[in-house]
Amino acid sequence: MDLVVGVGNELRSDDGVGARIVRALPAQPGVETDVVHQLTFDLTDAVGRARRVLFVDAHAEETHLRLSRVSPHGAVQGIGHALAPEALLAWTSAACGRAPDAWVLSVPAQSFDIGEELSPDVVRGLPAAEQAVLDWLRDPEPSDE
Amino acid sequence: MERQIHIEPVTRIEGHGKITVFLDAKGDVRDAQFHVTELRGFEQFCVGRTLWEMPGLTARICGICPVSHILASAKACDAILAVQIPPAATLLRRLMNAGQLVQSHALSYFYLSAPDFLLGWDSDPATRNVIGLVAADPVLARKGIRLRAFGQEIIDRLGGKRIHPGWAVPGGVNQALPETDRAWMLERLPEALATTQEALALFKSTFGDVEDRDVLTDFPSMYMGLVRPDGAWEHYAGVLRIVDSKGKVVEPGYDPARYYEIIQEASEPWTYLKFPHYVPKGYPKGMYRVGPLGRVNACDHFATPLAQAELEEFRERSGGRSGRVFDYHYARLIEILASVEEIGELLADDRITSTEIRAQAGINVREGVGVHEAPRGTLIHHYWVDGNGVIEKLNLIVSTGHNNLAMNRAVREIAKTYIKKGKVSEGMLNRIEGGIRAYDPCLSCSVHAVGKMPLAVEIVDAQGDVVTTLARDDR
Repeated sequence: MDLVVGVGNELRSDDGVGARIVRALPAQPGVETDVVHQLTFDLTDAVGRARRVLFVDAHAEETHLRLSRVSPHGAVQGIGHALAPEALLAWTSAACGRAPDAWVLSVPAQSFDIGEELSPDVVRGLPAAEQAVLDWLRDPEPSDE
Repeated sequence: MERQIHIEPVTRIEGHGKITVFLDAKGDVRDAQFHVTELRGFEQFCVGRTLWEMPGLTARICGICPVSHILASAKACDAILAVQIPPAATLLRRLMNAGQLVQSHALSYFYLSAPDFLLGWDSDPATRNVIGLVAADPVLARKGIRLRAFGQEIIDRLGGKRIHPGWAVPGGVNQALPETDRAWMLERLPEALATTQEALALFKSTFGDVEDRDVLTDFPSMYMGLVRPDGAWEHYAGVLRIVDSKGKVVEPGYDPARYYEIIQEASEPWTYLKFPHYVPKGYPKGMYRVGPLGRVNACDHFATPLAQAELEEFRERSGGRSGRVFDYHYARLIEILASVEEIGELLADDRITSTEIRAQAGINVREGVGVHEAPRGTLIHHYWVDGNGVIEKLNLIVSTGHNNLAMNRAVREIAKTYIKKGKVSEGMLNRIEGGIRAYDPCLSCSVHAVGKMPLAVEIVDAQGDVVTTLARDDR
């Protein structure tokens, strides 16, 4: 099973772009989706059952769509309200005995103010981001971009 | 010379608090105070908003217990509309509250508290957390994660999201239960039941002896919870019952809408959290406890067979009603079991998928009270509105508040055990934290505030000078 997780708050403008992209994905066999405000320890079971995982998240520091491979790393501590993907994978490895292959799709974002609207540039980038998720689902070994 | 001990911040609970231990001239504990140090003021800024907004607004009091506030608020609104909500809506609200009990209790037990007693009170704080539990018993830890996820998924499938679902509304709920979601819940039910029974068996095999469960102190108090008319454990409807420390009924079945006749709140200048107490006994003698231990002690029996068998064993092991703070964990597991059983019963009722889920009405009464059992205890929403349904006044008595007197008592008793003649024994900080954590306080809710909940302890001498500060922030 491939798992696609949209990360972000849809009441915080562009922060919700990952959630929107994942909600818009057509249902496909062998693919599960989830939408969360933050990555938390609760996701370890779902991540642990997945063959591959893609986290789709807004990133203010990015100027272009970027797909990055991530691995379990460090910071297995506390159960705060937000984990980095690497820390969630480390948690998953500890709890489930394995961590799946995982990637982050970073979507360029500009505004994190209160609001449900996306910035115009983010709206223009939505089709490409949605296509990037579909490409990831089709490609068993996508390379970093 | 008197001294004070401050513990700040308190870890692995919801919210932000601090503890001060006051020592007398001999260095023994004179008093202890559990301070809740944040304030948010929902009772002020909800004034002027409309009734229809209240479930959604008050849900924002907390990210852990939004379901509890939504349901209590919706019930208060039902009272103002003066409607009887459709049967399916009642079943669905019960289902969501049972899911909330499962997910919240599983969070408290597996994530926050079990590391203390399964890994050892004096084990290294760096690993005495859920990570250490994962390392020590990954299978159990993963089952705990999945149990919580089961409760969360029920909330998600009913309300459309896990946190702050705007689903319970005045007059009912706004979305029916599809058959596909009912089938999913039924499919996952056996695993949830098995995990709960396994956790209970492990708990009893580890802490079967009363002495093992005395670790966080034992003191008498009254206990309060909703019960059905026949005295059965209840979490959504029913009447308020109060029993004494021996189980003798003090209030057999008080109308929740008239809670204010038996419960009032006192204030202290050193904390934002108020002190609800039983009016006939006054403040502070009118201390009672709510939440898992309060409900399990207040009821006569459970309506479901597995939970009833566990209740009988609990009372046999405890010699009747239990005043042990540690037994909050035991009671919590029994309540997960009862909730899982009830989820099965609710899903077996074909009315639950009916699409007749909301009664429509206008403002018919100017005042309404909504009471139900949140995971941490009895939750009360009380609204007054004008003829247009605009809120003129509201009063919220939140679960953690009911336990405020008892949490302070627990801290004082534990401190007395571990501080003698000015010397602080190793392990005091862990036990005091554990004593508070057993109540699973949600300070975000209790003062309607948000924030982190690390713990600090300060020791203060007779002159008011802080002589020792013990702190940890391992959350």
